[in-house]
Amino acid sequence: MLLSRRDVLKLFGATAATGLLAPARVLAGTPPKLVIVGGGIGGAAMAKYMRILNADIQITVVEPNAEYIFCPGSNEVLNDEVSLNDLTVTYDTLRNRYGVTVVQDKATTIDYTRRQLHTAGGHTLPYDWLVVSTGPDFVYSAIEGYSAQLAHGDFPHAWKAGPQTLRLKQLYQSMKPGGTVVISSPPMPYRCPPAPYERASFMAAWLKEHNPTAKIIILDSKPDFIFQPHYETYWKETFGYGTDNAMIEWVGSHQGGTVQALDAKTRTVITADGERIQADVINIIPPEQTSTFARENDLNLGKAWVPIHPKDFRSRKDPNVFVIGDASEADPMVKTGYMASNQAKWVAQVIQAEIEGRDPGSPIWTNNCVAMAGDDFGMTITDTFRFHQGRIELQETIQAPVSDNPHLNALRAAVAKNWQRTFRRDIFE
Amino acid sequence: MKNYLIMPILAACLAHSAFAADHERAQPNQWTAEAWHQQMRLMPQGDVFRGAQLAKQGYCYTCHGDKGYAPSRNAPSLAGQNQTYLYKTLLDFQSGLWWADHKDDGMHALARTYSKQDLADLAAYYAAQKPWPTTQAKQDAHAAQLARRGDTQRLLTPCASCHGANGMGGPNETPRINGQSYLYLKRQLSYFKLGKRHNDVEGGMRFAAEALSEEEIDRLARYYANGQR
Repeated sequence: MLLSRRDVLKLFGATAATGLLAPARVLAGTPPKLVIVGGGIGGAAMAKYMRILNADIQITVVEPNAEYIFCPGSNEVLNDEVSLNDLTVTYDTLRNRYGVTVVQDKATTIDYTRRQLHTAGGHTLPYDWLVVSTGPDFVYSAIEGYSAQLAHGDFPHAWKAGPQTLRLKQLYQSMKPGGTVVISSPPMPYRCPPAPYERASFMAAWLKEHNPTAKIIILDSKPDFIFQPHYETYWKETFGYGTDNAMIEWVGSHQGGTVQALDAKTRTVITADGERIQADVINIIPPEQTSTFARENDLNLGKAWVPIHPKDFRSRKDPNVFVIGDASEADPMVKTGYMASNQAKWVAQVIQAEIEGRDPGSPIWTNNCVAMAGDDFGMTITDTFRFHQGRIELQETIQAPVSDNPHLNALRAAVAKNWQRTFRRDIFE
Repeated sequence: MKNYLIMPILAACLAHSAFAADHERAQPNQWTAEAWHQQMRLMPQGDVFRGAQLAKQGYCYTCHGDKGYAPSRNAPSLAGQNQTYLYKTLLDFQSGLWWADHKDDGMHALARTYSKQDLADLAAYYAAQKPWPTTQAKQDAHAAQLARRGDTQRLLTPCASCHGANGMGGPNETPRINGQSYLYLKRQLSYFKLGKRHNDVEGGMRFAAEALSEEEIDRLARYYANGQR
C-alpha cells in the first residue's frame, strides 16, 4: 500500500490548516537536498516517508552495503525458523518506487560550514539537511580481552544480523553434549532490550531437542530486564528454570553477573566478583555507544550518545544535521528499530514544515515492540511519547500482562511474527 | 494446471514465519477421500460446555463474535456451522494444510495449542449455536441456475448437491454457506480457484471453483450470502 501525502498528514495529525496560511519558502531553481547517512531502518524510513511528503526534494542515502539484513527476527535464525535470506532486503524499492539515490559508499566527514558530506569513495554531497542514522558502535574495550577481531572469529556477539549470527548458530549447535553457553547481556542503553533473553530461549528450545544436558548461563550487567516475569514464567514451564536441572540460568548484576573480562585462550569470562566461568560458547554482547561517524564528526560533543533537541531531533552540534535512531540520546525512548522509524517519520514532517515555512506541530511517537520466548509464547509492549516542557516524556506504556492461558500466549506469538513481517514491509517495500 | 504447481511453492516460501522449518518445507499431505473418512471415524465426541470454555480462553470471539456471529467481514460466522466441517477446519489449521495468507497466522498459532478432543469440543460448541439470521437477497437467475442445476457444459455439479438445497450444509464435511459473509465467501472461492486454499478433500472445491469466472464467483457469493455483507 502506498500512502498518499494526505493519508500521512491524517496519520500524524499534523497541523495542516496552519500550513495553508504560512507563506511557502520560495526555493530558487534547484529542489532542496536531503542526504541521509545510513540505510538501516531509520535511514530507509527517513527516505521513504520524506518522499511521501514531498515529490520534489532530492533524497540521497549513503550506505556502504548493497543489501540490508533486517535485525528484528534474526534470533529465529539461531533456531532454524528463519534464514538470513528471508531477512535480507534490498534498496530497489527505495530507488525505483520512491526515487531515492542510494550511494553505495561510506560517509566520512561532514563539512558543517559548506553543508557537504564527504565519502570514503571521494564523493562530495551537498545538502540542505543531513540526517544521520548510523546506529550504535560496540565498545569492545569495556570487556577486557574482547575485541572486534574475536567477535569476527570464535566469539561472535551477533548483535547485528549477518555472518556472526550464522557463526554463533554453528558454534552452539556443534557444542559437545552437556556443554555450556554463556551470554553476557550489556548494561542499558543498548539496541533491542529483550533480545538477549529471546536469544537464550530460542537456543534452549533447540538444545532441549538436540543436546538436552546443555546449559545456558545469562550473565547480566543489569539487576533486571524487560519482560522478566514473562520469560521467567516460560522458562519455568519449559526449561526447569529455578531448579537444579535448569537449562537456563540468569545471574543479575546484583548477584555478580556483570562480565568484566574475557580470557579467550581458556574460553573463560571473569565477572565483577572475580568469578571465572568457563564455557564452550561465549556470546558477549558488548556495551554500546554512538557510532564512529558521529564521534569523528564531533556530533556527540564528547558524550556517549549524540545530544539532540528533543522536539525535532536536530543535533546540538548543528541545526541542519538531524540525528535519529540508536545513535542519538533520546531518553526515555528505547533503542529499537521501530522507535528509529517513528523518529524518521517525525523528522520528515519537521523538514517538510520548514520547506513550507510553517510550524511542524507537536509530535507523538510510538514504540511497538514484540518479543518471543518460544514458537508458542509471545509478548508485546507499546509506549507512547510526547514532547512536553522541553523534553521527551513517556506518556503511556501498555504491556501484555503475564498470562497462564496457553492459547493467548500462542496468539501473541502470532502477533509478534506478523509484526516482524509488516514492519519489514513498511520500511523496505 | 499451472496454478497447482506454482501456488504450493509460493505458499511454502511465504509461510516461513508461520511454522518451524520442518513443518513448512514439507507441506502437509492433501486430503484423499480415504484419509479423510478415516479421520472422520476417529473424530472424538464433542462436549458443548467444554467447547464454550475453550472458545472463551482462546479469544475466539475477538474475530468470530459472541456465540459465533462474526462482527466483521474478516472472519466467518461459525454459529450453527456443520460440526464435522468445523472439526476438519481446525485440524487443517493445526497441520498447516490451510494456509491461504497471513490472515491465517492467528488460527495456526491457536490451533496448535489444542488437542483433538479440544478441537472436537470447540466444533460441538459452535455447531450447537443457533445459526446466524439471514435476510432474503434479490434473486439472481444465473447464480440460482449454477447453484441448483450446475452447468453440464463445464461438468459443474450444482452447489446444492453437496451444500444442501438452501446451502445449509451437507451430511458430511460440507459447510453451511447460506448467510455467510459475502466477502468471506468470495475470498474463499477465489482462493480455491487459485489453489491457494487446498484443504478440500480430493480437490473437490478447487475443481468446481476453477471452472467459475470471477464474475460468477461474485454472483454466487452474493447469492449465498443472502444479504450478509
